[in-house]
Amino acid sequence: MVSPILAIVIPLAIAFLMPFFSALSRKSVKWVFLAVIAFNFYAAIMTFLRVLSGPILVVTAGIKPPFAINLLIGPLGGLLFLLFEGVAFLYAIFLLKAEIKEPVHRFFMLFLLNVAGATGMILTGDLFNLFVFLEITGISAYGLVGFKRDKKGLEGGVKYLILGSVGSTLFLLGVALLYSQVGTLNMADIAGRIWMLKKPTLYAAFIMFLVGLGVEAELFPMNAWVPDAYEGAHDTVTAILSTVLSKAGLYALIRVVFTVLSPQKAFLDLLLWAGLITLLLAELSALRQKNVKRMIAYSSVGQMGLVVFAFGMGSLFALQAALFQAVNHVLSKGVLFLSLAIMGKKREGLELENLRGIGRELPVTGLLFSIGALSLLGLPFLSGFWSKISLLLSTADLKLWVPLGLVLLASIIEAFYYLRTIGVFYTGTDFRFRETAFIRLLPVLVLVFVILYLGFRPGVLAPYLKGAAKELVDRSGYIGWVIGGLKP
Amino acid sequence: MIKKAFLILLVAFTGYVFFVAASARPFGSPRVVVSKRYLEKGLNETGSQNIVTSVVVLYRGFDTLGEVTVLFLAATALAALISGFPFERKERTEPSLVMSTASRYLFPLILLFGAYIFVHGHLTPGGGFPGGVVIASGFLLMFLAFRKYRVSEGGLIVTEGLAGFFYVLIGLIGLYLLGSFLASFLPPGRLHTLLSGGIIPLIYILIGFKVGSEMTGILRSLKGEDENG
Repeated sequence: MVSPILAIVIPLAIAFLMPFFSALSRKSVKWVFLAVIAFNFYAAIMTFLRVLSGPILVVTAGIKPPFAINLLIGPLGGLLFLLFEGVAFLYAIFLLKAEIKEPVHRFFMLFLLNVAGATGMILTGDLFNLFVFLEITGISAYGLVGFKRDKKGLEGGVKYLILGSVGSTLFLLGVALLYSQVGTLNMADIAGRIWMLKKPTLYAAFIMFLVGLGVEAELFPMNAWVPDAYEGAHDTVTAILSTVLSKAGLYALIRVVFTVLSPQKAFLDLLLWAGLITLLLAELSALRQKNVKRMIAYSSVGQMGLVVFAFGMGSLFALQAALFQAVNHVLSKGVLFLSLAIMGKKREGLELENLRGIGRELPVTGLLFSIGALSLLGLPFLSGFWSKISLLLSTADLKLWVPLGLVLLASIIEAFYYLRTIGVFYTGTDFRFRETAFIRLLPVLVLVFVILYLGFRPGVLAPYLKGAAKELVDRSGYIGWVIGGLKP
Repeated sequence: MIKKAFLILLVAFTGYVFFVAASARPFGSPRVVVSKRYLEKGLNETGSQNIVTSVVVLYRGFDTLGEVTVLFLAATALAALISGFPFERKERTEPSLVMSTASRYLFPLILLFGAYIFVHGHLTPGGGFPGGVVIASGFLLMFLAFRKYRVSEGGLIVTEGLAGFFYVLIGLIGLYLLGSFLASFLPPGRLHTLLSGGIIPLIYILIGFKVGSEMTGILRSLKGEDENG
């Protein structure tokens, strides 16, 4: 039995020791990194299996909540935990062959802390602790984005730093506002006392959380940092921002709205429309991009908008669809950014023009990229199809015809630019077969395999999604797990 | 114009919200369970005379580990950024004799005072964070008083790395012995004496070293002494 808390504290301890490993042997750093992430993945698998038979409460300092900080891993946390550590593990394999600017140990240290922070965000049961992990995740991400110290990287990093700092300050203000009213920081405990809040206070807290976490969850207009940061960062960093970091921010937002504050109709409507606007604007911007990495960055924002929109619908069915869409987004974007990284090594720059014919030069990578993109678009028998169809069905179910039309419109725009990109990849006569090293293809292959598997057997995931959605809807259940004496 | 009106509206709304919040729970009104329990049971449960310290290091110790990490990250990021910008170095005048002589005598006293603060964190106000900052201020004084004063980067990295690692290790020992991360595995000791508070003094000493070396590192990178020694 592995305590889930180890997945947070072991990376912290090893990150502190990174300079020592670097002094021993410069090459050892990436292997140490891989080993720690592998351990996290193992811990995530064990936790995921344990969550099947009931949620896990982890107390710290040997004192029961709400007096000390606790972790709570229910079906939702277990699912995200497995997803995060799984993709992080694949990225760690991908990084074995990557070129990284000196000081290398600092890069891996930041990466490790970033993963640890995101893990902490999804596992913790304490609102202030969530803030601390938000800070760890955020600051390490600013450092990672600016790590190349070139113009683009620094621009993205500084933009993200400014928006991210304002965002986490607002989040902290929201926490302080809640604490001043209920006198506790434990999420379940606050949830149980949320009736003590006057309406204006409750609404103000919601606004602060929405704006504060909207930076990480990439909601319009707090997402201005995304295109520059994604474009300027190292490829694997972009991948982790788009898959793990954005989902951690989204999780925090959803957890706060659904569990801590209670999902008022007004909150959900705001989420719904914020998501829709984000989706539409992002897809329209993506259409105009000439740089493929930037285009996928906008598409990433759009997908986040779509997921938030689905959460805003609030029905159990819609929540399941939203979670499924989030999972698919992680899988697809992992494929897209990693395969784009492989392509970038062969060509100068990632402008669409430069990538003409790359699909013939790198047949496997090109095929994997295409599958990732098509899954995102919702091609039948790929994983993305099932989440998109259930998302659209749940929209129709609630008779939200205008949003339904807008989502369809956005999907058409998205399909247009992705297919255009894939088309360019396969034009041109310049045929030179130069496929990349297998070790770099392996992580992408694994992700594509999962996409195909879920495409043919979408039912495999259904019980977990249902459990996670139920956890969000059933507030009193969550409160009971923490306060009602679940055996730690 | 619209922007200004919007800003005024925003400020008014925020003010209104904080007014509502403050009038719902006036300052000093009796607190709910959590803080009450800290005040009533804190001393016997943790053995720490300073209740604030017991909250920081035990009840919310997991947060403190996170905050230490945040500081570590900020120091690292600053060092990385500063090394990217070449600063013009102006000629500096040598500090006066009074300054350098006084600093030489003050420096050990400041270090001693900083150490006193973090060692007595569970008894008197203060602890690892302020103690560490006091120590760093001693180094700041030396940087100001002697142009050629050097602190080795290696020493700072070793100190902060090991202090952070041992912090996590103490937490893990608690997990191993008592099944809970950062649980106090040492006896509370004789209350109100130096040897009390279980693992609290240990953790605060580590934090003192860590914060001291990190803040000194920040000062060192701001001073910019990397290039030619």
